[in-house]
Amino acid sequence: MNYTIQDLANLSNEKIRQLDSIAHNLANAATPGFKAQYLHIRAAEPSRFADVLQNIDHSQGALEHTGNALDVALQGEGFFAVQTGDGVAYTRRGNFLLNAKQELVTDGGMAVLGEGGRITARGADVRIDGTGSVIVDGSAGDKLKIVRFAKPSALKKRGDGLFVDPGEAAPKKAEETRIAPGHLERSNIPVVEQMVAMIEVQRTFETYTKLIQNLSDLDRLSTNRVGKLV
Amino acid sequence: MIRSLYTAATGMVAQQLDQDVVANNLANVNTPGFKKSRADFQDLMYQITSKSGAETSGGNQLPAGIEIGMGVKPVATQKIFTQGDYQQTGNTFDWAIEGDGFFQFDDNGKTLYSRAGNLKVNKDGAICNAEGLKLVPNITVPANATVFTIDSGGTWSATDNAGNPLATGRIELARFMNPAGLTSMGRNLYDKTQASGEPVLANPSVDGMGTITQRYLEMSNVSVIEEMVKMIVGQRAYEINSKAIQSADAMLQMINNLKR
Repeated sequence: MNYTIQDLANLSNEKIRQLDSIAHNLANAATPGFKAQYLHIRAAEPSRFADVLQNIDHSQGALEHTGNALDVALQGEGFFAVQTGDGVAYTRRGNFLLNAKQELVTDGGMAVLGEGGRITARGADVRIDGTGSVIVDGSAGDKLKIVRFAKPSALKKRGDGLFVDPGEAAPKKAEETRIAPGHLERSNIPVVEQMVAMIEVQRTFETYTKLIQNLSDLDRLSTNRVGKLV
Repeated sequence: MIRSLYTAATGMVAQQLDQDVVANNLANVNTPGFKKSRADFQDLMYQITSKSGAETSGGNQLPAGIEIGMGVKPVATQKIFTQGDYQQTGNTFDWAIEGDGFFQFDDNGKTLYSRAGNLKVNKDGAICNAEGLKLVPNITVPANATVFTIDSGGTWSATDNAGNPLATGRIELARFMNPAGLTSMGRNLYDKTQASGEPVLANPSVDGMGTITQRYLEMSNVSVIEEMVKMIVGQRAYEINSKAIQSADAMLQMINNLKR
């Protein structure tokens, strides 16, 4: 047995972080366009400290039919581009609205970008079709800008359903992304797996605490018994 | 303290809000002109616990940092202005709007907007809604009128027994650039806001405005099946979040039991 109490305490802390990460996934089980993220603990030899790696699962979430003219879901790779206060961010949430200036915006009020910049739709009947074109009173206007990344794993989450590119994700124009009008993409949380992972975390944590108690018993025995004549 | 306790709590609060919205939709399934709402959620901010580029124990650089999310937050309850179903009632003063537009009502000098076309005539002959708010522009039905008709373009006429026209006019509807930005006042009424923009007034069937159908009512656009499914999803999501709290609690208990 080479582990010390300190090692086990560190591992226990990583288990708590893993639980935090699972709880975040579960809290967002019903958030449209949310992508699951996982923490992996990897025992690194010969050092005893574990490496913790995080990855975001960019797989497709299920589509839900809403029938709303401004709800759109992406099928396949790609993101919608939105303008935030500090640059362009990317999202899979397609529950768009029009603001008082008739601009297409996210529910957080950020402008949705088309291939020609912000999209303004003045008209009585505004909807988005299967090619991503914004149709105003029957005539096609600007098209939604869909961005694909060569390396989506480099994207960072910044909350509000947004992803940002720290400069390494290499954007490229999406060609094969299909758009489902009148749909929203649900989160891609595998709820069953996350429940199982939660049980695993809790039980492993329990094992660590038992090991800590064992080591502390051994310490006590060696302090009290070793060198003592019966 | 374990973050997951609070993270899961945000999940439970969000699901509770979702249930409240669903319950309100279901409660109004038979309310004429009612438009359903939907609660929208976003993930909360992320706490960076190790930066990307940090060194691993093996001497490599971490390709991505670790950002642990703090849960979920409700962002908006969005009104969904899809068309409701029509119900034939046979009542002279039941008018349904087919397409865009709102009826306008006068609430003590302030104009409010509604899709509910279950209108009445008060003792003075003025057409008003079920609450007694007068339709704008005002219509007064002459006391000796026996027949009242309104066509799809909103032109109304009142005639007497012999078929002689007594009064005629045309109603106006209001349309908004962003109806989702309207505030619900309750009582089937909406008020304009900065987000909805100013109302655009026009006669029915003109400039993309909807048309009027007499003797029909627009019912709510709530789909009971859809709401029931949402209720089940919401309840289960609430449940899994409570499980995360239980896990965190159990782990805290184990920590407390370390010291004997």
